[in-house]
Amino acid sequence: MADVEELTQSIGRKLFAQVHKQVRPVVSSHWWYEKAMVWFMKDDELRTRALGLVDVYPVLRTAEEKRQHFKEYLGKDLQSPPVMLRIAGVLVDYLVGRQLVGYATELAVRKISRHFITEATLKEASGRIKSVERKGAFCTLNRLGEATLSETEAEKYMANQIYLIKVLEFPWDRNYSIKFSALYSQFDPVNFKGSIAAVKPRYQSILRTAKETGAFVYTDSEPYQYRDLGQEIFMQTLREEEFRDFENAGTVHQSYLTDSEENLRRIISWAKTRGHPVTLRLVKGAYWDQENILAQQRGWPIPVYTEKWQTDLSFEKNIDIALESYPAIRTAIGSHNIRSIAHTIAKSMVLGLPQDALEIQVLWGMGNPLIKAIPQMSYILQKMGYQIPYPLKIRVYLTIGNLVEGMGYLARRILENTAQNSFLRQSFGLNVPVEKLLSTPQEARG
Amino acid sequence: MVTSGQLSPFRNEPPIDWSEEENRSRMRKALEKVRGELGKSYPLIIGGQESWTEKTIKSVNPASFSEIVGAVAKADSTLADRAVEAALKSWKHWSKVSPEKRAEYLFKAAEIMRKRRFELSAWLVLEIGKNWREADADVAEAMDFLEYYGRQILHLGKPQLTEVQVPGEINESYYSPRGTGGVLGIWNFACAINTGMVAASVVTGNAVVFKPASVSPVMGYKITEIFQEAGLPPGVLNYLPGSGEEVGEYLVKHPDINFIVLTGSREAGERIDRLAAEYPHREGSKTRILETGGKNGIIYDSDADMDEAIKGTIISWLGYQNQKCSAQSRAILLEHIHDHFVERLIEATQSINIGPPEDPGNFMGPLISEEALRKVQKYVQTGKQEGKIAHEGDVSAELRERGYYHGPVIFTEVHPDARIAQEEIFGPVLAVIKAKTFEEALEIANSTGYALTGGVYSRNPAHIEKAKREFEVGNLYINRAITGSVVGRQPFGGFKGSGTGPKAGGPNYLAKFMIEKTVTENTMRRGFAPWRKAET
Repeated sequence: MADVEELTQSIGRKLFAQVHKQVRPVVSSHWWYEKAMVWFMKDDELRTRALGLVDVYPVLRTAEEKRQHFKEYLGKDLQSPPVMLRIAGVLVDYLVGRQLVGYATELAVRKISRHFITEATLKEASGRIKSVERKGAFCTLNRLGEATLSETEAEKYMANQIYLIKVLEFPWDRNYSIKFSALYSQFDPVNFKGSIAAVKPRYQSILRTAKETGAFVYTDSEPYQYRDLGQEIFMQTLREEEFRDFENAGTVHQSYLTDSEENLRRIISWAKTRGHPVTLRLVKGAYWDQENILAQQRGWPIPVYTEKWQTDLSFEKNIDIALESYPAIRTAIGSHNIRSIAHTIAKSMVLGLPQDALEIQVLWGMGNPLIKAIPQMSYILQKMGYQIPYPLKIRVYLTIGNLVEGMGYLARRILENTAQNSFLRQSFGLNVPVEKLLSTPQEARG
Repeated sequence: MVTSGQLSPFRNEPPIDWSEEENRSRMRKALEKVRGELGKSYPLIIGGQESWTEKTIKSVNPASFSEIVGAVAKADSTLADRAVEAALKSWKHWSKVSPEKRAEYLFKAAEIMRKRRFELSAWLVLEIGKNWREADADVAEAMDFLEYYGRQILHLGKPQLTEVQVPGEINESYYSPRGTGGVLGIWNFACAINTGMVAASVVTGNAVVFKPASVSPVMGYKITEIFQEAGLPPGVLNYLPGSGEEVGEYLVKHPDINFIVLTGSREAGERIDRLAAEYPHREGSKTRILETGGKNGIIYDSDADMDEAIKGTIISWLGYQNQKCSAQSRAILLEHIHDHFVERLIEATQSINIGPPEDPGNFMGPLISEEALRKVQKYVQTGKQEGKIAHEGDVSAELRERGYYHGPVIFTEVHPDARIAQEEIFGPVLAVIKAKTFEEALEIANSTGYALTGGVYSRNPAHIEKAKREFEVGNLYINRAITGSVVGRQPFGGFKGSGTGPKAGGPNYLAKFMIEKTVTENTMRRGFAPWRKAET
């Protein structure tokens, strides 16, 4: 619709301006993060090695181990090491130098991780939630754990989620994100029925607690192999008597999958027959590298779009379809892309949707400038003369865990952030003209 | 006729995607269909003719041993003699068939397997107790061997110029078949490995007598049937189930058998070594191509990724109930992570589902036979003397009454020289050994009489480098499971007590089945050499 595109452009410009108004304090975890990201982005080899070092660092105990690993990963055989690294590589052979390098690495690793992951204590988690909500945004909590390799671990994961739901104080609403695969150690699509039978009771326990406390539960992105299994568990559970009219359940939908539109329509038609709203969190997709690599190793067709513009187009199409399916579907979009966000707002305005039809979700650590900017947009849009009686809702996705548990999550964030064509890199890092940032996916294809 | 110009490059058969409902449904249907065919009788096949015997070998479903999968005819030494004769007779023609035509039979066989993929997997589930995923991988590997060796012979079957050429003389290498061979089959990869050994033998122009393992003779018959359907001339592949002593040894001792190819136990391999030496071929010594087992260890460094390490251990140690030559039977842990690893491994092990592999919910199934079960039970008793029981998995009485089930057992505080750390058990028993340093771990890893597979979980590049150079195994895996080698990608085979090599599914395998002849032609006439190109 020409209307929507025009509106998208004007909203996009305003939003872009708002985001850039956010002044970033010089000395904070953000500063460290920026410095580190610059390094990571420099070249692939450095990025791979740095990521490797960050990955192993949390399990190193002795100073000698740390020195050795630093030397192996960043002190040797790099094609074009940054000056600081070359100095560090020399320093590390001397006792005092070793300590210095050790502390610096330690600090860097911790700062980078803490940029994305909140420490797993009630105090830290509550503190972060409060600081987010003070900015005018909501939260959803994702409690990480070790991989669920045993039934003990599966039960523990479930118990942790239930505990969090009961205990954690949110000033506004309570909202949690969980993974189906963490609820059963033998989760495997080859055993479709058995996996469903094992996960459902545990998922239901969590939903029951949510029901009792007025909380909301999302289920998160998983690798493609698990998608149908996860969706089946979601749909079966919400069809049951006990949860038939439960409206506080949501599930993810990843648009980078080549069959994502077909899949979306299937869920929507199910939601319509169920007769009570469910929320879909639309995202581009969290496992792009992994899906590519694994498909190629197995000789299977690659299940994800290989070019960015294809995913972007799919994402926008899916957003349109989801918004058009209100009230059976309430849409949450997980994105840091100003164009995608602007398009979503524009579409929902043209459709005349109420507040509960839409929320914008961002990851803590990646979309921070948006946290203040989105609520501001409501006032700006009103000033522009649009009928928009409610504030736009933004929800921040907080990942909570210790470093070892958080490594997979952290690695994916760093990969996303430093990919050549990442929006963040372009908009928050390099200087790209706003027209280019707001071009339609087809235009971006070039 | 296929030439290497028209053929697509080799690529591995993709495994079945079990996340697709269509595939799960096809597998369920295949299992139903194969169930309907259980209990049939199968003859010997000698010289293309069926031959029935009074005595038979019964193959049972190890998950439900009252179920007879099939009954195959049982050969004796007289019939073995006839089979060798048939092979010899067919060889006179077979050795003259072009490499392209021979490859064609392999490609056709692969195509037939492709069409019958789910059915063959179902046979493996019921005859040898493999779960769906493992069974499919077995069938896929069989197709890989066919496609891989078929392409290799197109190159090897043509005369090759030697490395140094001079004017006035043409020097070429010709590879020709050895003659007749005995293929002594195995049960644990009843489709893949037997297909591989037969395919390598016949595509190189040899004629063979194939004795399947007595616990998986029906799959052996299916393979023979497929080759027949592909058009392989009668007598090139003779199907001869029988006992190890009567038929197996008879073939090894036969003066008209040029080579023996076996995948089996170390003891079987050593026995063949002795017999083959004592009973050579009438014209010279017997070539032996033997792959014989392992005592495979994985080293876990102090910086190992614990999640990945546990996942990899479950696959390497418990996949197909440890009944793989490549399976892990030792865990060598750096002291620091020992306790945490063992604790998590025990929990993970307790969560594995054990039961009939027909049900895709069961990761683990039964052991192959009563004999195998007794052997494992004895080693568990030995282990109790040699180490500490950290975990002894239980199997319900109901399951034990129906099939040859054994639960997983973990021993800790095992000394590297303990019997359970040195001898191949072929059952789900893990010996956990502590090491103080990475160097010590490597020493321990290298301290058995075997050298087949090994693994390292480490994120220390220097340690990884060291292991690559010093870990004495034929197939070393870093930061992944140590089973599941794939044709072409990981040529498979070891040394010391693990076999003679060459590695199967690799570029050096086929040549061992052939004789290399160097031909030198002086092309000078009256002092000048006509510019004549060699016929390549």
